[in-house]
Amino acid sequence: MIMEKSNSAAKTNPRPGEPLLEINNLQVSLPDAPHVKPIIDGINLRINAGEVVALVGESGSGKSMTALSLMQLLPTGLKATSGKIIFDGEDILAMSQRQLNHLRGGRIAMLFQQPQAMLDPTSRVGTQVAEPMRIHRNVDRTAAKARVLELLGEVGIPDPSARADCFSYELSGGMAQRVMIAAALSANPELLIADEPTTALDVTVQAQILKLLDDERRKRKLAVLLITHDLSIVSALADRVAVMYSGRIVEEGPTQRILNSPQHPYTKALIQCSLLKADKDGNLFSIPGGAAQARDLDEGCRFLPRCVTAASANLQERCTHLEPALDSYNDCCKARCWAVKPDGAHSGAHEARRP
Amino acid sequence: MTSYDPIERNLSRDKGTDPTAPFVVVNDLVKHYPVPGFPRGRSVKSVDGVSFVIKEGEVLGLVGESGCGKSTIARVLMRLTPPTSGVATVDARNVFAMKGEELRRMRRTMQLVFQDPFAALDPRMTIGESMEVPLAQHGIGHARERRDLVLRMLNDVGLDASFYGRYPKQCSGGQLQRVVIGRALLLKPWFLVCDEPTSALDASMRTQILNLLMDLKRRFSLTILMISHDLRVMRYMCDRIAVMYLGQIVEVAERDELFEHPRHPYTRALIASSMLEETGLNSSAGLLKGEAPSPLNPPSGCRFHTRCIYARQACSENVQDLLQAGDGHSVRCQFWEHLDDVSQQTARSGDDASREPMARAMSA
Ligand SMILES: Nc1ncnc2c1ncn2[C@@H]1O[C@H](COP(=O)(O)OP(=O)(O)OP(=O)(O)O)[C@@H](O)[C@H]1O
Ligand SMILES: Nc1ncnc2c1ncn2[C@@H]1O[C@H](COP(=O)(O)OP(=O)(O)O)[C@@H](O)[C@H]1O
Ligand code: SF4
Ligand code: SF4
Ligand SMILES: [Mg+2]
Ligand SMILES: [Mg+2]
Repeated sequence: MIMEKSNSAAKTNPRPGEPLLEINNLQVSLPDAPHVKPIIDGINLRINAGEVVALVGESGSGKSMTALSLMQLLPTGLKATSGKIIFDGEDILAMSQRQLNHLRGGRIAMLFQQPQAMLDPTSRVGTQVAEPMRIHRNVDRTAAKARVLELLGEVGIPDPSARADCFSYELSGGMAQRVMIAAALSANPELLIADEPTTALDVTVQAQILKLLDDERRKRKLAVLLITHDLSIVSALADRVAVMYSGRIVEEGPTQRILNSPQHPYTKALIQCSLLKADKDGNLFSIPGGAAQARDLDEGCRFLPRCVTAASANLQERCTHLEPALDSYNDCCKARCWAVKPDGAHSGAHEARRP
Repeated sequence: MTSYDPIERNLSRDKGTDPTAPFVVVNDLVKHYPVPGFPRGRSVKSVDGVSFVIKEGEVLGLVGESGCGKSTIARVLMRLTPPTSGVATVDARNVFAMKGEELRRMRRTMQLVFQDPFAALDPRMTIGESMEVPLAQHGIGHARERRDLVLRMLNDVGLDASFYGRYPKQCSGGQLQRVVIGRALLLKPWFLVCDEPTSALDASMRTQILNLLMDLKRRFSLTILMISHDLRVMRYMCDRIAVMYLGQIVEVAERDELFEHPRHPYTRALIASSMLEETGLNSSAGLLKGEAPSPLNPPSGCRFHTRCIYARQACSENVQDLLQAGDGHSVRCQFWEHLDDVSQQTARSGDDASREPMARAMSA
């Protein structure tokens, strides 16, 4: 399929519903520290054109490193040691620097948690928003200027012509994130990678920015890889969700299916945690232990040290020695767990999780 | 609690005080920071006439957008920075008038937990050393006793003895936040101020820390001022909640009353924006307009009028006072009774019918 695409002569971009990005068996490791286990260990993920896929999971599970691999922007010391990242038929990991520069900020744009840190304090807002379209779309100066004002208006910045002449440090956090969105949309990308785009913002501003992102992606049929650990954001914005645990995807499927009937014990626990609902004794549900325990395991399921299902489902033995694969359990969802049977038929014991 | 206990918990409690009087009373607190380079009189009005009380054993929440003055209140109460004016008493003692030995003892009864546990601990000291510092400063126990106290506290906050010798970089954010909370509790305070204690943590760490705080509150009968911008955290932790906007409290009510009958337009916007999975992306749209104004130059009249969708002429002219909107419920808006007449907007209070499937399924 991928072969077909790159062979097709006419450069037609993928249409909504067709695969735009496919991560195949991606592994990220520290080559200089061979005893450290890979930070990302065999991830497979597809994003279709126009689709919003959320990547969720606890701190340190590998969400940001997955995102940075997509742009070949991993920090020094980390390297994609195997796998492929196919974007519209071509492997990003095999691209030359020139090809990468062409992709970054052009067909793939990025949005980060700290907008102020990403904007250049020495250059005017208008110039920064214009840059991607000037570089990647060969838009001339005058056309770019007009287009920038249009974009700034679109992302909800009042009085765009005055703001275009501002420096980024003169903007509030919410305004700066709007400017970042305008800059990200500037070259009309097909894929937007947004790593915790609203975590640093106030709740009221956060809601406004999420609404803006949702409007823009619908209008532009833009695909988005959305990284967050806030499930309410996932529920409001994403078409599909992939749950990461310790460098692996443990469950994946359409957002409402996963949030309504999660099958993997970690997904269930994560949802329980996020709701902050107290039981009758006034305690909140929490996942015992920490993710660090997973790093000490050499075999078996990485979630085992924190899993309440393994014991109750009488799977302790198998979970200790064999790692489950990410298998489909119905027509659209996958999970990596021995206790999950096809068609969501659970091995019966999952009801026994915490009251 | 246990036989060996060199810290006398009751030391700071004045037996003469009226047991029914509120434990913490803050009256008309003002903190203005002068702006360097501006003519005298020009200042950031970080906290501008804040009053509240906290009963013994109660958790009061302080919520509001960034920059509205929450942390400033915490710092002023802890005497980390002097107030411009106003009075605060804890256990009937005037906090701002304390000196010498009394101040030193007060510092034992009141403790602060910060947002960022990494910043609160010295990276060159082991966890154990960091936790012993305040004990040593207050001359509590000998080296050996201090070590035992710290080990016991580590256990109380759910960490094993191996943490005693670890450095901060060898621990996760959640573990460090436990250390910081444990250190604050070592001096057996009566009053704990928590400034965004879970904002730097992910969902599973957050619930662990909140459970810990609630458990410790019960065991140590703590009175808590809880600062957060996360309304879900507030809903779980607090008995009463005060909503701040630009240096002032704009609404105070019992927790359930606030969520079920929010009266101030700003509170309504906050609630709608924080319950996205229950209310969806559109519910908060249009509940707030414009950008937060600068505290250097707060708007005239009702400070919220530049962002309020119900604002009318009178709002920019009349200074608003806190009005009684029910039992223990105050609101700083002269039109609070008539908001719903003017607009179709209704307050959203998480009633089951309006919830999205996820919340419904998971709470069933
Ligand atoms: N430069 C680095 N060298 C070695 N390990 C690293 C480096 N950067 C990140 N890691 C490790 O990679 C793992 C994944 O990190 P990543 O930043 O992707 O987590 P995340 O899921 O984005 O977490 P968060 O929610 O906290 O942002 C973590 O265990 C982290 O400690
Ligand atoms: N040391 C300081 N000097 C000058 N201004 C300050 C100082 N500390 C805080 N402020 C200002 O006071 C206001 C309230 O800040 P803060 O209490 O930290 O808000 P919050 O904790 O609610 O986010 C902000 O406008 C902030 O910039
Ligand atoms: S495979 Fe076993 S240990 Fe892993 S999540 Fe499933 S039941 Fe738990
Ligand atoms: S007084 Fe006016 S501007 Fe202020 S909150 Fe009430 S309606 Fe809005
Ligand atoms: Mg990250
Ligand atoms: Mg603060």
